Amino acid sequence: MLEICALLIAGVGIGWLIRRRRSWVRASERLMTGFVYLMLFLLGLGVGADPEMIRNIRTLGLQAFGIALFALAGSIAAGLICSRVVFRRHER
Amino acid sequence: MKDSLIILGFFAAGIAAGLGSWTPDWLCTEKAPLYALYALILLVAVVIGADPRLADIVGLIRPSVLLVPVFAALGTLAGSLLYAWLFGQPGLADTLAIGSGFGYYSLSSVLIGQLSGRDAGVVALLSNISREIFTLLCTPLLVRWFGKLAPVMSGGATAMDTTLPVIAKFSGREMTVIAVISGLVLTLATPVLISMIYRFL
Repeated sequence: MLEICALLIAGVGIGWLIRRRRSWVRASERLMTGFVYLMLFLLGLGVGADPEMIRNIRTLGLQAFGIALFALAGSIAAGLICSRVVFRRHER
Repeated sequence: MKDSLIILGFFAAGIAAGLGSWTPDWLCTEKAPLYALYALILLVAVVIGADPRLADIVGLIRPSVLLVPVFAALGTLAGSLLYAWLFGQPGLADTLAIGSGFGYYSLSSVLIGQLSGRDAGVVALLSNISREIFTLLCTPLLVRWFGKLAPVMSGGATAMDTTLPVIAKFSGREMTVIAVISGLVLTLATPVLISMIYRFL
């Protein structure tokens, strides 16, 4: 956890320093995208090669959908409270 | 939308390759090494740090604006907690971690797949991609029913990039700064919260 915070702070700092070198920034964006594609391909590979997970894919999909629904409902409800608390003055 | 389809395409291609066993076994069973994950987190942060909007945005951050991502996170976690309590599967830590993706499906699925297991990683991918697609499609209705802040909430971390155009269009220009700040905070919070959840739960 601490190492992740350190990586985030270091990364934002590095990004800030190189922000004017557009070619470097573009290179890091491409590298990040490529990395994500590769990691997700590997995640899929692990799923495809595991017959147990293929059997469970419906359950996993339903769980994903259910969690998304509850998370969305929770955040939208929190938004209603937030706009009362924070933006009350603007609304009038 | 196109990006989420490309991501799903790579994931689906991986499944197909795994089913057809066209790839060597070690590639399927081995988890990605931890330093690869660290490199990804570092790259994500570099791209945020290099964002040309950052200088303007930081100057506009006010305590009251920071309450927006705090509320979005608390609401998401409350919803996920309720889901875990009602259904029990896939366990409290996984459910909270999946919720803490805040729509940031690429990083959350890779991170959760690494810290927990492949099943949870897959649920994180599908769950957070649904959140992004829901926001892209339902923002006009969300604004009409629940106000201008609703799509910023439902967009979560994606409110700073992929869902920003649709939020700007339907919530209005004055919401864009709030959307970017909220998305930025939640994007940085995603890896921190996920690692915290697996550390302490």
